[in-house]
Amino acid sequence: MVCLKQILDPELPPRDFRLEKGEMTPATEGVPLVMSSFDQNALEVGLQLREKIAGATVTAVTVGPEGAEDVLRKALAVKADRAVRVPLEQDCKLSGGIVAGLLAGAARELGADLVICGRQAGDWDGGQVGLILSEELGWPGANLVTGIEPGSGGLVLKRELEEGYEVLEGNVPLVAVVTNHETNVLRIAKVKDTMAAMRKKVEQINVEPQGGRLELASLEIPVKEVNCEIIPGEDGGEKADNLIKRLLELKVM
Amino acid sequence: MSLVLTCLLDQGNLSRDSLEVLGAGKSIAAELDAVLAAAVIGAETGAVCAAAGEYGASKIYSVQDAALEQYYCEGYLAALEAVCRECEPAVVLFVTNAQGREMAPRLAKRLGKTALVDCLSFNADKETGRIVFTKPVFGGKAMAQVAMSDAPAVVAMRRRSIEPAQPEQVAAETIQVKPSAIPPNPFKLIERVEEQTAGVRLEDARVVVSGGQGLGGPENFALLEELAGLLGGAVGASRVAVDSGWVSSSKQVGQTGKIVAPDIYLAVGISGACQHLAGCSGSKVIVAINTDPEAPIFGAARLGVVGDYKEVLPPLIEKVKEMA
Ligand SMILES: Cc1cc2nc3c(=O)[nH]c(=O)nc-3n(C[C@H](O)[C@H](O)[C@H](O)COP(=O)(O)OP(=O)(O)OC[C@H]3O[C@@H](n4cnc5c(N)ncnc54)[C@H](O)[C@@H]3O)c2cc1C
Repeated sequence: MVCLKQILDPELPPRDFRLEKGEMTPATEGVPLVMSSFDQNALEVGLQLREKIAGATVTAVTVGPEGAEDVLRKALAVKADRAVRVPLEQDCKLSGGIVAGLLAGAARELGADLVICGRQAGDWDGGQVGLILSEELGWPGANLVTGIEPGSGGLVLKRELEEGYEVLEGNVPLVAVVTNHETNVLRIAKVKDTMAAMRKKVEQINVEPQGGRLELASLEIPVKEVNCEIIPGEDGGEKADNLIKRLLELKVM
Repeated sequence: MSLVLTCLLDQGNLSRDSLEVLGAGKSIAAELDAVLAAAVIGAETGAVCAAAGEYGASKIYSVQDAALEQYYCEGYLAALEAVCRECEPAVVLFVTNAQGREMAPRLAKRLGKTALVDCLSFNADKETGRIVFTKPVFGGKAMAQVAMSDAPAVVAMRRRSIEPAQPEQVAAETIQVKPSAIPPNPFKLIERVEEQTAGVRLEDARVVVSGGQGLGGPENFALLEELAGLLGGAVGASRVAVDSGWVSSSKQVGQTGKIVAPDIYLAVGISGACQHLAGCSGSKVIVAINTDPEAPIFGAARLGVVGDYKEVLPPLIEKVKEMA
């Protein structure tokens, strides 16, 4: 089971980022919705693992309103076997525990033995769902995983360290929380598979939301005031000279 | 009296991360009129317990067990959970490093709460015990103020956002805590590969030269290496450069990479996404080299060079060589 979230495009430049009037939520009008980037990495990890285990399947699961099924179609387009939506109308914002509870319900119902999540969604940047999920399910959890392979005694997980990486062996059931790496950039769907995905079925699993909400007291767009001084010069050489001059004047060089 | 629990996950010496968590704990405890406490976990906790006392923690909860010689999430969680049940803290503090990132949400869940990670600052109200934490969301395009009113508030502060604690010897009491059970590590370590960095560490460097998508390929990082080498600095990168496989992921600077605060941060071929700037906004002088005068990096940089790095870096390198 791979968990996918639909979010506002995180690459939207700050100048186009606005808040909904009087509400503690961003304006969505005209902003593209995408699959959160670490979830893309998680999906790729799942697809690569499936290729190495006979009979394994990948089920893409999202929690959200009907529109969120777009991310499931994207997953079907890169050949996820099944797609499931757990309906939830309101955005949980930073209260990732609610989402984790819903995903845990889906994992139980699906009989999943490996759940793969992205490390944090690129909207609220909560960074918690996968970790809470391992608590909910009572399964071991590994954070900052970049790849999973079948091993002689279970699964072999590669995960990032502060400087370097480590390789761990673990048995299912477990939860793997994925971070980005050159080896897990999501593959690109073929046009014909994207078309086919439009016609595929999206299943629905209903789970009762539970858990408390954090109290969001305010949401504000920070004011940044940096006056960038453009270094003059006719060519690269002059610009380099002038840059060094300024760095010396600012006493940082 | 309420208690602020700082989680120190070091073995042997206090790391900069632990000093930051103690620094944050100290100011929250002062504002709430609370006791500053520390949780210390390991096979041999004596040295860290002593160090915690030298930095102002007056109650030190030690979980000592041979199984805990090295950090692993499940074991350390059981230890911390036992400490929290023993001392019932108002606030539990971590730093958002690899350990804090995974421990805070899971510990909070065990205590029936939701954690908040990657916070920048806080504001505590003694009367109500309410603490409001500021956390960047949407990659830093917005700031959320989150009120934590029921104890415990489990929070991880962003690295380098808090002043590290200064030494302050207090009369410290050490309490040994014995968890009822410490689960074994569910994962078996097959291999650990520590990356060797020649020269200064990225996070300690006074000069960081970072490259992004605009470099166009791994070979062009050689220019950055050369310049960083001449300036006694280190090379960093954007996430796109990492995802493209041009540099190792330990070089990623940003919200989900390293947080750096050098004197000079030179961003080469980096557009300046908020998620990237989150990792370098504490730099004294950000310098951008970018062909696109509209790139957001020019809204964050102090000095900007509009141009192709291929035309600017070589003469820059020559000039630095002449100066040396
Ligand atoms: C949840 C989340 C977390 C993230 N965490 C991070 C993170 O920790 N760190 C991070 O970096 N990103 C992170 N990102 C990604 C971030 O949003 C951006 O996608 C990324 O930083 C862009 O990288 P870039 O600037 O190298 O590439 P681009 O945005 O493509 O910019 C390339 C720039 O190079 C310039 N350029 C092109 N050619 C030249 C030339 N010859 N000379 C000079 N300039 C040139 C272009 O004008 C452009 O501005 C995260 C995203 C999400 C959603």
